[in-house]
Amino acid sequence: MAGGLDYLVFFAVVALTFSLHTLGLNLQWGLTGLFNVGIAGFAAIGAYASALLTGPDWPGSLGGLGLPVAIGWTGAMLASGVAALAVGALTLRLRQDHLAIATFGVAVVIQLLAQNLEPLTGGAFGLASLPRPLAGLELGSSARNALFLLILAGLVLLAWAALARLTAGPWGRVLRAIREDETAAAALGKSPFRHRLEAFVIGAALMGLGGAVYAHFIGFVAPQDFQAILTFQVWAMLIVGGSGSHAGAILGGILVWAVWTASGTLLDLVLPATFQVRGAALQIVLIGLALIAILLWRPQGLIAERPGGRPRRGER
Amino acid sequence: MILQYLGDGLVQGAMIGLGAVGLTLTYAVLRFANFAHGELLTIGAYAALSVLWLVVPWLGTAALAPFSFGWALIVALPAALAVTCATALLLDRLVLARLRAGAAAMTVVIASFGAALVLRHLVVVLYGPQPDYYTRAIQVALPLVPREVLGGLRLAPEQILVVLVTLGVATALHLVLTRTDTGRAMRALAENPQLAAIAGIDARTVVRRVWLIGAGLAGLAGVLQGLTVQVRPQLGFDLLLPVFAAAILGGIGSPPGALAGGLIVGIAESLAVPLAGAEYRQAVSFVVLILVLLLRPHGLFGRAP
Amino acid sequence: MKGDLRVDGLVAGYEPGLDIVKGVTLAVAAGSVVTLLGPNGAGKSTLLKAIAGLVPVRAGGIALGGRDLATVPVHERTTAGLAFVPQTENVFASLSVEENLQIAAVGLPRALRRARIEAVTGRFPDLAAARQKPAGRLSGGQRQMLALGRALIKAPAVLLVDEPTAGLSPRMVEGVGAILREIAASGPGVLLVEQNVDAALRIADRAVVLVDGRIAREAPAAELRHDPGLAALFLGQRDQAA
Repeated sequence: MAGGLDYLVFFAVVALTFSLHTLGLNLQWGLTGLFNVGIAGFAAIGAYASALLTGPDWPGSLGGLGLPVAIGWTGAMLASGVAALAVGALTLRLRQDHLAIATFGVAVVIQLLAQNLEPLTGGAFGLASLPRPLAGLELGSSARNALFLLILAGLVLLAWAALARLTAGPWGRVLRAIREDETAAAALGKSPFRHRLEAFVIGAALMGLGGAVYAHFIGFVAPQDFQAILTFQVWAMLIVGGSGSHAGAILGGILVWAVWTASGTLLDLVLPATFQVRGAALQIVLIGLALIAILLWRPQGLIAERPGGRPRRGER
Repeated sequence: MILQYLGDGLVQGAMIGLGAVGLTLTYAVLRFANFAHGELLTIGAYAALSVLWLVVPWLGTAALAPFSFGWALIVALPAALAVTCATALLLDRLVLARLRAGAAAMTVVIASFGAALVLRHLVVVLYGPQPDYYTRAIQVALPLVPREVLGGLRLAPEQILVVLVTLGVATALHLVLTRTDTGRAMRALAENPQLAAIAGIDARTVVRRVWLIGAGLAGLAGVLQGLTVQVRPQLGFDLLLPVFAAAILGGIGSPPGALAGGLIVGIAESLAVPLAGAEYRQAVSFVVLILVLLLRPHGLFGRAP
Repeated sequence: MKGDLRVDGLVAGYEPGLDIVKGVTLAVAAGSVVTLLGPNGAGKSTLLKAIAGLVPVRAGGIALGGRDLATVPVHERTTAGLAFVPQTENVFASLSVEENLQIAAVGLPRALRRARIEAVTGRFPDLAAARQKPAGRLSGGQRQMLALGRALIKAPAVLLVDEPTAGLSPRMVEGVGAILREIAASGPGVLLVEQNVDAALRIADRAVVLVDGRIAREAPAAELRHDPGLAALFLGQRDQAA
């Protein structure tokens, strides 16, 4: 039974890191209408930043600073936030589909850097031996995982509460006003661009945190954990959960991850071990098809609040 | 070595350009950024591979001098294009068309992103992850310009073929767009779908033809890429950013622009290799993309808003 | 092509539940010019667009020469004999004058195409002079000519025109009016939406006044030209004479 519980904890941790990503995307797209196709990139930035801040002195690389995990995770949010600031400053005035292509480009470049800047990122092998929070406590591995889950759950709840306060308060009202009638909001002195940038940055910070938390849980950060598939997974989670709703984002993350792992386990049982690479690819094919089917039958998951339904200034 | 870099860049740029022309057409007429376009290149390359394996027992592997490939690949090409076109039409029919008509225009972009993921990994399921080649024969680079002149230029016959084929196809496309009813209808639909309907244009027929041309060009680009580089599952995905950059640089809706954009991106990437290393090629595309979007978002030949 | 346009109890609107045209019955006979008048928001343009197939019809029928158009998709209505000239964006700006006309001619036999295009350029000499010019670089008046010319290529039975004089100088307004009368004289019926009441009543044979989606008054144009009650209708007051 302990094995089953362990598995559940593992599942819950990964699911909740996805929930963090999805909360971030919900803020960017669900509430602000910013089409981010580079989620994997922002998650990677956070993960690598945290790794470099907290990791041990790796041989042959620039080395980690060995700082506490809390600093690492804060640094992760800062790094992704700053990256989003730079990207957003350049691209948020673009029309939605151009923003999509630009953010896609960001993810590609980040992946490129992760793979090739070996002294910094460890190249294809990445950076290992990342510490756990409260590493000083003497705990067995199951208890350690459970503690991690507890901390993560706390973080997710904190993020949820903070976002809910934010969107229910004046800032959120301005965001809604900008969505409804941008020119009127601008006339009232509210800068649409600044608010969009803020939403973009906060959303990216959450993605960076999600990336960092995941990396610290599995103990290493590597480029293959931050590829296009992650971006699509998070989008699917937002669609399933219902765009525009914080709770929906969290729920979508858990649900879709459940389906993902279940299908993975099923395929592992059905396919012989030699088909590992093709098996993993098959899993992606099947899940991808299922998620596209959901897109077809539940497109309102993306238009629950109609953030992108209204064409913006300068759009066709 | 500058001439060699320019030459290599021209060859790669021609293939990026072909991909970009297909993308710019579908982008302009169907009004969405198709993230699955890269996979059409991959499918073209692999379809050619499969048909090649099928016909080699009959046609043999003997190469047609001065090229490294033989009749088998020539026969496989139209079949590969047919498969690519069929895939595109199927994708549109099953997934994209329904979402294009919907209220949330960006759903179709995410769906195309997901479809790309599915197609890319389907290739891995069917063919495995390792790269493949159309022929084991070596492609010999011919000296075109002696080394004393700017470092010289050596290109393989296949590479020269790529450039010639691209120019030929681009010219043919230009004639289609300017001299035929279909071409005019495409341009009209791209500009104003409602007026096009009023003027008697059946959008469904035009859309089908746009997919055929777009996918055909993509498939061709994929086969050429497979011929001059290698056939691998990431072929198209790794070209997606350069293709987008080229199409936007040229101005969405302008095929000559997309081709020019492709050549510029290809040459820029090639010139960056001695500076930053071959691994960072795509970073060049990204820089081009961002510069265009910031300075002149409608591109070289697009209409200013 | 010959045939009368009949609209019967038409109810139409962009969004379900929000009808803009609330039950309109009218007829446009071949060779006549009928003008739709009315205050802003009365539904004149919407009615035209509904007949053209661009706005969903919720009730009622549209028939041309006896043929029911309800199931005919928008792009087939030109072949069916119905041509629509929208008020704005009524030419393909990125295509040349010649190309605009060629698009309209698709579906006609080759020989007939050339003849029809030449007929249009013959009727509008300005266009003949600017064949290769991109339509976007034509003047407002020339663009209107092209839009009308495009609609005439398939020799429609009925021509729907939405505010053709908007933005034109008084002299050009006269010119457009003359052309519309001339077009009607050569065969088709013309259904015209016009804000310029004066010009409309001089061009048209009959006028239909639309208020709040319904016909408030219908009469020969000559009768309405000097009718004081007309202004009252426009200002939303009840029509005493009806």
